[in-house]
Amino acid sequence: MRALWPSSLAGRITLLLLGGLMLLHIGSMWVHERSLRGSEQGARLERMADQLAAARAAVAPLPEAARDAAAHAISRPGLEIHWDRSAPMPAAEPPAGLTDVAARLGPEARIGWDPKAEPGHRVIGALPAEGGGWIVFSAQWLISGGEPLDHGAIASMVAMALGIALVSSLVVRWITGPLRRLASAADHIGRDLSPQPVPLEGPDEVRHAAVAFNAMQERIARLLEDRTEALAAMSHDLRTPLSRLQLRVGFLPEGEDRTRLEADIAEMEAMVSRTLDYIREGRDAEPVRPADVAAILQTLASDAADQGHDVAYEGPTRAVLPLRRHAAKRALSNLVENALRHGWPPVRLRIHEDDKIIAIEVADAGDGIGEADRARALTPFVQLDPARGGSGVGLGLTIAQRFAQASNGSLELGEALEGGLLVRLVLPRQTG
Amino acid sequence: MNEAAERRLLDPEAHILIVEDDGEMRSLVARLLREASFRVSTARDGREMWEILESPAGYPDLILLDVMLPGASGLDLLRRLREGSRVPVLMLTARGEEMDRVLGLELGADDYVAKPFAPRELIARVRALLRRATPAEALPDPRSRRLGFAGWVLDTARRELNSPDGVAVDLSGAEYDLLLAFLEHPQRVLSREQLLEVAKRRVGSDPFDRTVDVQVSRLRRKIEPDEDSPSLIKTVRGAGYVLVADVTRA
Repeated sequence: MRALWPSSLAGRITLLLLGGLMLLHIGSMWVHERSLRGSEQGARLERMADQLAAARAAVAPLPEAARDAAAHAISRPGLEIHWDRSAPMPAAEPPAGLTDVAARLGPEARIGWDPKAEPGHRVIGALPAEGGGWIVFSAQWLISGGEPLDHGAIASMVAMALGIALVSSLVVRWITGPLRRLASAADHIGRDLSPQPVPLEGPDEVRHAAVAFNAMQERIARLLEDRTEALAAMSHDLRTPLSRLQLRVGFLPEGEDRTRLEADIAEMEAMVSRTLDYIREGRDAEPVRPADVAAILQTLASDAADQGHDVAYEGPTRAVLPLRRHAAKRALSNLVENALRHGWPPVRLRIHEDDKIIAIEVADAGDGIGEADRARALTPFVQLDPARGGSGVGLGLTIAQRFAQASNGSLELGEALEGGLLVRLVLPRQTG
Repeated sequence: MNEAAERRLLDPEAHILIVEDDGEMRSLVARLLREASFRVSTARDGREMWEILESPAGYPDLILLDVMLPGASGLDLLRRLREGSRVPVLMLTARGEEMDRVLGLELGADDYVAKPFAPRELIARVRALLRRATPAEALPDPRSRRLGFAGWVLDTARRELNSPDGVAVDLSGAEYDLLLAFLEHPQRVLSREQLLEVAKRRVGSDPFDRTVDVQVSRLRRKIEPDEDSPSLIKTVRGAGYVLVADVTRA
């Protein structure tokens, strides 16, 4: 039953229309058939009464020997008439419909029903003839029942069903179109921060839903905006005291304390800049233009290597695709930092390309992220390993994921050949 | 080059004007620069800056300009300053504000340092700018911000390198500085020592950690990516490196 019930609104409406209209069609056909047969039957009964009366009149003047032949001569297909000296007793009580017939033929008429007789002779009856004896007749069952519908009726019904299905599916698609667009707009919420107003079209109900939906989008966008603003303002403001702190620490005598202070400041600075990167991704109006992503990875690897980390790029010397260059560098540098911070060296940067996509891989040799935790690792401000010093704000992977989505690409987490986490950023060669 | 030699090079002591609205920041930077034996004046905003520029204290050798200033912004001041002066300007920008940076460099700033910055880095940039600002090394046309060589274009305002087929090729800070040094001295052999001086401008990483040869080979990998790419930087045995391409300014 569940399998037959369609899951889409369009399917349900189509099914409902089809079922309802078919029921109506069958019902009206039945009523039509019935009234047609009813009037036809009245006419037949009339004719039968006339013929029986004619037979009565015909046999009256004749001698008994000629009477049967005369009566039989009046027979016609569907009604056989004889004359007999005595009347046969009906083998069974007549069905309800037959009593009407009896009433029509006169008060003395007998009528009965022999279900065992041949199909044309099941109704049997008699009425007294003038001058003695009985006019005996056998007729077809008058009231039709259980006769199969003819081929024409079936064909017309099938044609009608197909027609209804076709027209209603078109109409219903047209009706539910605005609803589908509403759903796809809802699907885009949160993927990019700019609200995408749904066009106000379609039936009133859908239009109302669209208005409410647009208002909701507006509110969510404002909410996100406010939250992001607050975060941005805080990060911006932190930079001034951090600058002062950094300068002041520079005046302290060299020593372990100063080294540690400098490391702490560097860490805070990294957190602030990562937060700003996160906020900026998707908000910058940076133009897309051809850029060499291999050069970006080489720069990142060189910079990290110069800091004393085991980071290397292994891939083609050139890999060009349309890109927001600064955003891409921010995203990738966050991935490298993430690998160094949470993973373990060696960190390897690779590129795999085909004619549709360029896949950038950042692999480390740390513990990796178990399959169950991968979705959570991509959530903003979530850190999977707070026990390991809690450095960072948990945005590295999120920034890269937002970049990937905004570029019509994707970000996947997996297991690296090196044993640690593999982050795979897939970007299309064509934008849009 | 040791500290004493450095001081001799910049003798008489260079005069630096700091334009910064945050009082504490201003005095900290002033102290930092004084300890590095520069002569320092400070201004809180544009008005004070103009006053000092017109005062008998003397025209500064370098202006350290904060972009975020109350009233006329650092960028406005820079624009007005550039109408009549080529004094080197080092901008202090907020980290990550790429628009400020690009606009500043396009308006004629000579370099930028992003806040928060390491004290060593600021000093290194100031020294590098003062060295470059000696007349022999100054750019002939201050507005020439696009250097072309062998089809490549280095946009110094945007710090962007574009390949002959119009692809943006990312450079690390050290690679950028090296390439700029080559472009400012085309067809001249630059010794490893000279190139090491260039590398010192960046103090994000320890320049002694990697030899000049490593940095040059990284730069080569980017501007000569394929086997059949024309060789643009040639090694001169025992002497150093030379950029063989012609450089055009636009």
